[in-house]
Amino acid sequence: MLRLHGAPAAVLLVTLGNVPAAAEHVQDFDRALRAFAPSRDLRKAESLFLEGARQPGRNQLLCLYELGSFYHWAGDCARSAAAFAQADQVARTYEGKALASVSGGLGQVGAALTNDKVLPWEGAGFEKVMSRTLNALNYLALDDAEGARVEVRKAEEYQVKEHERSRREVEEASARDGEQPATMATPALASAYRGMASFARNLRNSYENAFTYYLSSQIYRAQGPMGLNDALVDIKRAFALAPDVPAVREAYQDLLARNESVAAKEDGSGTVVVLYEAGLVPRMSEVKIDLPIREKRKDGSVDSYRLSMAFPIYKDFGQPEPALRVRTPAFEKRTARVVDLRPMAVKALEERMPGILARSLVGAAAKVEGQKQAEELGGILARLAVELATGVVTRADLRSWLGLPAEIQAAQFQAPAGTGDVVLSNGLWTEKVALEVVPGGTTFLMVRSFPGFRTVKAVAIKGDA
Amino acid sequence: MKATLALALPACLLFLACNQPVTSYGNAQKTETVNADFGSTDLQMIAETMVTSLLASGKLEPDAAEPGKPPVVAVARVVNSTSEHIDTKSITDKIRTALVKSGKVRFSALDAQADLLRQYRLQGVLADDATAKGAGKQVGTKYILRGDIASIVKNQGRTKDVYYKLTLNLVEVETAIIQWAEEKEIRKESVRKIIAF
Repeated sequence: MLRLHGAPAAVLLVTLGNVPAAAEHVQDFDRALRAFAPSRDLRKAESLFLEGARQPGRNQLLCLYELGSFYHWAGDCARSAAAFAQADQVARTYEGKALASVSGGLGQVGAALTNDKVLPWEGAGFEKVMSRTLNALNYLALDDAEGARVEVRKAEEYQVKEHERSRREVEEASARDGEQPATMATPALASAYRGMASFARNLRNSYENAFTYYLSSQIYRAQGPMGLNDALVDIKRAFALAPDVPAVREAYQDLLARNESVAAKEDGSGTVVVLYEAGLVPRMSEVKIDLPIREKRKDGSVDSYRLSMAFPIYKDFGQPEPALRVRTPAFEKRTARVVDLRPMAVKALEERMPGILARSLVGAAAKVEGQKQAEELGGILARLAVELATGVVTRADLRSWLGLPAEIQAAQFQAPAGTGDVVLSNGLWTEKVALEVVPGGTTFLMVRSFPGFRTVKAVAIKGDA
Repeated sequence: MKATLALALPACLLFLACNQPVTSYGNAQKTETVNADFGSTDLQMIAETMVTSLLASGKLEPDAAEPGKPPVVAVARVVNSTSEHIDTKSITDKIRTALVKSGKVRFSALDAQADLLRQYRLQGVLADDATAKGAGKQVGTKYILRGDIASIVKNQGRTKDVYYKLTLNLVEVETAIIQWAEEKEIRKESVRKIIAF
């Protein structure tokens, strides 16, 4: 085990220099949501996140994502798009940083000695894919189909990048001769994380997102004949991930038929695509786990003891969201879930656990060494001071993008051209919406709903937009 | 105390002055390689290639109805098929400006039709008959310029490789024949540092 000399001074210095901001992110988000949901008042969200979004800092990317969500819900798609665009720049800055940097290394040391909250929040892969996916919806709402296509291309690039990262990690893990993932390294951890492992067991990885491919396919399809090939490529990807979703299956069959037929039959109808962002992602909580620590003494003997460490965990996964019923005078359709972001968030945390555990173990060693040396130098009071300081700051990093929907559902149908009413209901609320359908075009009906809030927007895209 | 304050105040002012951003004019023609995204130098390279090629092609023939006058061209659109929000209007504006300056082309303001229609309606109602401008006298467009910009992005380890291709076509309106086509390819590569401070 690592022996760190001068540990007590180092721990105290790093502690004093790096104590995270007093307000926890989860509490900020809840306050912003309570102010926003009843009246769409953005002032609280802006007061809590705007400053963090403007200044380079440990929470800049997170603040930008949350602001992007609030503006997105409020229907201020231009400001939401601007927030997500800036988030993109910040994310790319983190991705483009040197493989090893002195300042980054110091940050990791600081995190090891205190907690991960001192590190800049860089977001999980699935969150970055979702920021581009939601931004594509912003551009659709702004009637900018070309901008929407740019965003889905960016989302696809990111999925490819995540796929490469995942492949490299699997290769490296295989090269380590079947070394067990850190979460299963001790019985205490395995037991604590059993629920999470079970919840995300059906996912191959944390980043593959059927909805992003489905949305991309629909956006290309709306372009007209020029976009059909791209639409077919993406719907095949969506179908591979979500073959049981009726909207995906229907879109796939429709695109196969259109690609095969030389002259598409124009019957004066248009396509209506219902996209339903439902609920909110679960949030992490903290779990304290006693881990065994073994330390070699100068005389060669081994000191064994247990140290209580804090880790992030998902305990409450939430409930599946009810489907949205879409009723027209002619028929009724129900949306079905295309992507569930809950297990993706859980899987992303699982993938991060080796790094979290490694930093926690280094921090634990430093803490124990610091306490011992403090007692040698200054007696029991000094030891207690170090114990208090490190106890205060050795908390789990619970930061995540809380403004993401829990799941996204979809449905699609053909409707005669013209303007008509559809009635939407999910068992908790009902709303009538006027819909414009253009012949040969696509109307996107975008619905967002979580407890206490809902919004509906419809945009008709003509072909060759 | 007073001596301390006397030193502290200018020191603070100096500190504040040193922390203000420094702004100066740069050379708009200087090669820009801030990152691998589409940038000002790419825009300039594309415009120069397209204008030089079109003017040298000999395809810009006068309209039979207006012999001796430069043909009328309208810029349709350049479709953005990349994964960046590129302002394709900047590309076409730059090309159009250079072509107009050459004196060999006249441009029709296709993008101003809505404003022009509004003017015809207003002038028909409000303006003096002798000076009112109405519909039916626009010079017909002989050619339209339309194109596409696409990109291929590859990430491998520390390297990001971006390939751009702009394709521009001159289409004769009456016959729908593509009378001229040109493409410009640009490749940019950026490599992450191994160590930074």
